Amino acid sequence: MTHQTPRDAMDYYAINALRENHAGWSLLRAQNAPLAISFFMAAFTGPNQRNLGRQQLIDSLDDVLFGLRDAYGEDKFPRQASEYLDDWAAPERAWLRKYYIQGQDEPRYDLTAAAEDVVRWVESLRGRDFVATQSRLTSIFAVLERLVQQSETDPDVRLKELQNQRDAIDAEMQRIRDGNIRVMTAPEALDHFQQLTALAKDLLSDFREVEQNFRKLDRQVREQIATWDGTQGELLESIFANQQDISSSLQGRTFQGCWDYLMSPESRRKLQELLQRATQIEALAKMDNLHAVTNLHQDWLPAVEQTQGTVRQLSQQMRRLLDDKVFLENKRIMQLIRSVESGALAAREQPPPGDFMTIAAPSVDIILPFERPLYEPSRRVMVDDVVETADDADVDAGALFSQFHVDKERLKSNIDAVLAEAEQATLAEITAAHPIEQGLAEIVAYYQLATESDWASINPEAEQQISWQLEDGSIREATLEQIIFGRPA
Amino acid sequence: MNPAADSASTAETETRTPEELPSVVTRLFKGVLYAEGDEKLWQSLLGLTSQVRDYVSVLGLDLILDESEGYAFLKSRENPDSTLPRLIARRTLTFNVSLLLVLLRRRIMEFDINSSEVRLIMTEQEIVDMVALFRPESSNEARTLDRLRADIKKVVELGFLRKLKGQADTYEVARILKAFVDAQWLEEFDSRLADYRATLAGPLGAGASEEDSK
Repeated sequence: MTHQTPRDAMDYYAINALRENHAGWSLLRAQNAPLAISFFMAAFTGPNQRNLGRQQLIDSLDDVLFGLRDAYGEDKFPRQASEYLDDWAAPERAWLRKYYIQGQDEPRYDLTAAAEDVVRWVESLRGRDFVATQSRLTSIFAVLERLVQQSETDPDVRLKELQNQRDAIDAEMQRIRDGNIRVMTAPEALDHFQQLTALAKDLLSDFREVEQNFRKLDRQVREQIATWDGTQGELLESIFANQQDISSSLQGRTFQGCWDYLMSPESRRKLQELLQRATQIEALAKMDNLHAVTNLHQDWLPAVEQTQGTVRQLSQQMRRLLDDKVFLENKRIMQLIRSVESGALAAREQPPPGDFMTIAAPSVDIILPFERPLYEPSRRVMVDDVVETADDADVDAGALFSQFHVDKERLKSNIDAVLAEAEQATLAEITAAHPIEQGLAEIVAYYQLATESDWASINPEAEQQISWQLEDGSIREATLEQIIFGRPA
Repeated sequence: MNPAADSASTAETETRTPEELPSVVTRLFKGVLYAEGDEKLWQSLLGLTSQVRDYVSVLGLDLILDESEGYAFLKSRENPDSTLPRLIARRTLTFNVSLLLVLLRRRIMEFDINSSEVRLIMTEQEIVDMVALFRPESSNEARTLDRLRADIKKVVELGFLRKLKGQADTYEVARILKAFVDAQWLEEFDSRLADYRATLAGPLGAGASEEDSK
């Protein structure tokens, strides 16, 4: 983490100040540093995760605590996982950053850059299985070469360099044509792989640091706004000068370059292809974390996007803070609040009784009268809870199941069928052509059809007899007024 | 129901009411519309701002829309001569609740100035500490706390504090408080308090504030 003190002024006092104030150093000095650091490794740096929800963190801390208590007894770590978490995220520790995102009530956490530095330093203390030497040396050569070559302004020298490179490539190609292919040895491959892993982790931690530095810049600007005495114009001028600093700062430009590189489809395709081919290398087949490394770019992209998102959010809020109206109103509001506060303090022992202020409701009171239930006098209901068991032995339950329905449409079509042959027909004629199937109920239905129809007449002077046969073969007969159906005009 | 059907059929030729307008307007009638609460309706509102403004102005209401903060609500148009009956109720607040709103407003402002976060989250204890200075010394702390809890509950009802889910005694201070507790409101608070203190200091001693908010 970069500090305000210039690097060349790291004297006794500066270092002592760091020891007293730096979050990373305080983590190293903390009583429960081993617990905190091992937990940070398990939750954040190990799986390369950021933005973890509180519950998820409590769960992983519980796992760590469970193992430790098992080994050292319950007393060694007496606090709850959540308490440790709150402690580590407290402003005076600042090892974790706690924040809330839109739409979620669960707080989220991320490791601060200072804490990450400590984690990585502690990791480096353990030493490596073997020291990456050759690969480091080659990259030093490569970087040095590029540094020297691309800083060279003399075209002749540059052309000569390129020519040398081409000669070297030609010679290499010739060797391969001759069947002399040199393959990286297994140790060499492992060496390079290890360096790749280290570089990838460095990059991720760079992103975290960049984000933190943007936040720091943001805070500086906010402080400037809060303490500004001059006019708004002067303030804006000063801030724009500062903004210029942010985007043209070393960090800003490096980050932008990284972003552009990652966002370029060409470089992403190339990266993916290279990583894919790296998994095929035989010498690396036994590496556990091979797969993790080939998914590097999947870790990078969200990390870069998050940093980009932070910058976007910061500038949006800054704009809001600098808004004309807000700027002027904030000053006025602060004055008023101070005045109200001193007034309230003075009246503390005898505050105004009763209703004091009103505030507009944020909604329109629409009361729909018909949505309200009307008054209904309650009725006394006598509840007789004595249950008497009736004797149902001789009740025919079959009556319940032998309900039937008279289909009037069927009857109408019967009438229509008869009327197709004749101008008019009596009910007796109709039932003769279409025998009654449902007994008296059917006759009643015919009767009803007749009263509803404009084309039927009921003649009370005459009588007619209609008979039908029951299922058991017996004949029933009904005598009723004569009903005559006529063909509709 | 027939007239409605008729007007719908003739509306084809006239300017048509946009489909989403009724749901946007009725939603605003019901209370504050937050962008994060209903993204779809929020987008409709952004597209229909002028129609909504025209519509509610007929009722003497103004649409207050803050795009960057992500909220919108309806407000009675300030017009002292107006004979319009009030559509939007005014809620009466006790002195303590009013003061709590002022202190929360101050917190939001400081939060905006000092931090880049968007959501101001406070625990009940923080609210208690914030208010403590302004409450009379009392030997019965439990009673003081109960009263403060009642005040907090009232502010939650008003919609300026929101209890977080799954976290006991933790509240989010709604940013919309900034729109309601504005300079004008604070000015009124300040002058009422000054009047009250004048009556306290007066020869007759304590007297109720002369304003009756009914």
